[in-house]
Amino acid sequence: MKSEKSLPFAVGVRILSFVVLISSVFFAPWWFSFILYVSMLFLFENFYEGIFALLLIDLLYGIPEAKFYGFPLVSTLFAVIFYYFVSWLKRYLSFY
Amino acid sequence: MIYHRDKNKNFSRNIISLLVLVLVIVVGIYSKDSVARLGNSTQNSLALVSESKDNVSGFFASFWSAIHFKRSLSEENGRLKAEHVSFEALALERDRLVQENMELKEVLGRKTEKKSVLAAIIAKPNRSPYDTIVLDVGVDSGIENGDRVLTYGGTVVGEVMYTGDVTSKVELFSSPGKTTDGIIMGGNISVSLRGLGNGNFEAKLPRDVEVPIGAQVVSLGLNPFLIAIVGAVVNDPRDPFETILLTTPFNMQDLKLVEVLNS
Repeated sequence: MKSEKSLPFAVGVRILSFVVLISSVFFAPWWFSFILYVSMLFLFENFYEGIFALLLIDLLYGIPEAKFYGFPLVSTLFAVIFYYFVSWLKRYLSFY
Repeated sequence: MIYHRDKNKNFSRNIISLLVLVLVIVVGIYSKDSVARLGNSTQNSLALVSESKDNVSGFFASFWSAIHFKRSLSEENGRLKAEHVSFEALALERDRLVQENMELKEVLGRKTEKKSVLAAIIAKPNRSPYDTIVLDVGVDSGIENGDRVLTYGGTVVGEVMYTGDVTSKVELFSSPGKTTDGIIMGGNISVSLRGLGNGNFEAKLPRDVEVPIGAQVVSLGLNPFLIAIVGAVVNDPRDPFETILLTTPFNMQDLKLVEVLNS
């Protein structure tokens, strides 16, 4: 049972997680940011801000490359796909 | 007790998911310029973060060198001094040849002037799924799209794809799927290099063409620059073509500074 007191703490944890995710975009390899993002999808409900963090990867480093058929928003696309996939998966897991 | 799921809620959720997916794909395909403009406006933050990161890593580097064992340092110093002397001799020889080359071109009426800008790399290819590097120079330093990027004065690694005010994004020639035309020195064989990522290339040539290991592949044009060196030639008797595997003469991850050649 969640108490009223735990709400600011939960919000604080969520903000801190977002800051860590954003920092990983600047300092860590892309796969680390992606693993962090998927973990946070499981931890938090409606983690929309994670999609914006991965959008930052495309904006900072991305160009239309031949290996992605010239598509410049690869990280964002995978972020959105994983967002819905994890949301769907969570409905069938007993932990949630 | 049995809980029934709200089917209307599920339906609207699925519709929204589908719309968001379609939106991302449509924006990605039809609004590449807008994405690039948005990307350029976020580049300043990357330059800022890169500076602070350099300060932190500089502190740790000096701390480590302080506790490093003295004898191994002096041995390394001796080895590096010997290497330095040999490289100095090689550099002098190279300078003489470059000078001679320019004088010959001048005699033939093809004077060439090289204008370049020194740039620091603030993001390397492992930072993103894209095979790009981000430089700390942009439009403010006279960088334009299509400018070539050189390392160690004579190896060309890629070209500028997008320029922001203070940063620019460079697509590497070794980017997977990217093809670059070049010439194998010695035999003057034209070759089309296909990027494999992280400074590696492959090329296909008829099996009868002999390509020596270590041969240099240079770019086309009056002032050719080194692109890669032949590392291996793979032959299969059943295949009329041979596969040539090439690599840059340095590790991409070791690069810190590059030269941007104004076109």
